[in-house]
Amino acid sequence: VSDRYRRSPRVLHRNAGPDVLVVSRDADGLTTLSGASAVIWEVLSRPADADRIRTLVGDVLGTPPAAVATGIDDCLQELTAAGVIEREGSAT
Amino acid sequence: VSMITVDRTLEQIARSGCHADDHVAIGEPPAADWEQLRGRIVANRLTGLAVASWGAGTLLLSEAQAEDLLERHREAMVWSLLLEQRLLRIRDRFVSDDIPFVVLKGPAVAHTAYPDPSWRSFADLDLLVPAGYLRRACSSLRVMGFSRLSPELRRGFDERFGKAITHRGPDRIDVDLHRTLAAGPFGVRIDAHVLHTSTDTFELAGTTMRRLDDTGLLLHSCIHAALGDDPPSLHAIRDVVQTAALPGVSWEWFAEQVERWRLVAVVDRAFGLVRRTLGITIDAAGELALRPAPDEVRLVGAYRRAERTSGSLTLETFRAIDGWGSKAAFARSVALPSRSFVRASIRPHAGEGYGTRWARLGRRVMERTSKEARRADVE
Repeated sequence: VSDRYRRSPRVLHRNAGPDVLVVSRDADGLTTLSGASAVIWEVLSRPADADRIRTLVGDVLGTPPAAVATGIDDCLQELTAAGVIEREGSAT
Repeated sequence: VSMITVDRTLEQIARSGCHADDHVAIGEPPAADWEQLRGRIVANRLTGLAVASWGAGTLLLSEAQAEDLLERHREAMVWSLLLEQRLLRIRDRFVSDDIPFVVLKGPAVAHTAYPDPSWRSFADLDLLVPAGYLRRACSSLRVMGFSRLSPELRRGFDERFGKAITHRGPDRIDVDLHRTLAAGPFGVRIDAHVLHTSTDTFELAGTTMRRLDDTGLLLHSCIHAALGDDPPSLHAIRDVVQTAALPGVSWEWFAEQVERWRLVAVVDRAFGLVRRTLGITIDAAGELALRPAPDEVRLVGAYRRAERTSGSLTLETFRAIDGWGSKAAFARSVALPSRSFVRASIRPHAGEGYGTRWARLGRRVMERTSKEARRADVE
């Protein structure tokens, strides 16, 4: 499993203004990504590792990466657990 | 004045992102107009374009209007996602049942012709299925909990002459299984085999789906804009602009098919709608030098009438069918529909049998046809 994250290839998504709506192709239920998680989703239009994600999200939010690191890491964990994103090379 | 403002604003939204005047901001709609404007944005499936325009600063909205629009757009997107999720499940079922199909309109156009699929919402699913597989596809949908909305006119009609069979799922999702791209005479002229052999693909949640190739998408967009809703929905007109700009469109192949299937008046009307409604000229259209025959123009008119009925299109379809054997089969289906069709079309009075209900159905068609003929005479 790589250090890089990517959008799960098994989800469908749509932009809804500042939010992103995500559904899994296999399970019912809708996930709404807002704020930092919507930014992370946008950043992951290309796979990236956690450092790169922190930097890019920090740029968008106008905050130093160190200041958002904990929040971003929590967010990455939550999105991974929800099946919205995954580590490259993980089973899909 | 209010109606003109709403019309103009809608048209500006419908052409946003593809017109020289795009940088000109659309002023904030008066509060009194908002409800009507919002309703028509939703009805024309333009929430995505409206949100994009608002985001780009070319559509000015009050805070309350923006919130309202975002909520409607969210609803449209949730529905589109649900449809795509169901499409993937139908695809899995059809693959396991060995049923070939091509995705039409909504998802195919949204993921191929628009820079962001969120710009193009859709209300149902349309799948093109080879005539020989239609019956099996209906069975597969039935296994998935879908029900056919109306019975077949007569056994074999769907495979030979029908346009599409609509099914509704338990979650009220409608799936149209298409044999061809248009109802009536134009549908009869289209060689569906050519459509099935001129396809490309798009990706949906990591799954490859078949769609019409770029030229086919353009042709279908023209047919939908010209022969679909009357008045035409603005999203259908915008689809023509988007698909005409696809890099894979072969204008030579397009012109050949349009000529062969006698769709010149259809395409001419579609490009005319784009020009008149959105103020956009499809560059390549000028080189096609479309000269629709008078009988084709008359046919397009038959589709457009606000109260178009099966009567007028039935007659035109009969004329368009090649071969007396096929004409006879078509006429037999129309004149002697199945009992289940009659039962579904005419609510029975007490003690009324097939014959009486059949006669009432016939009278209703004739009344509509003669009303329409009178109206055509007046026009």
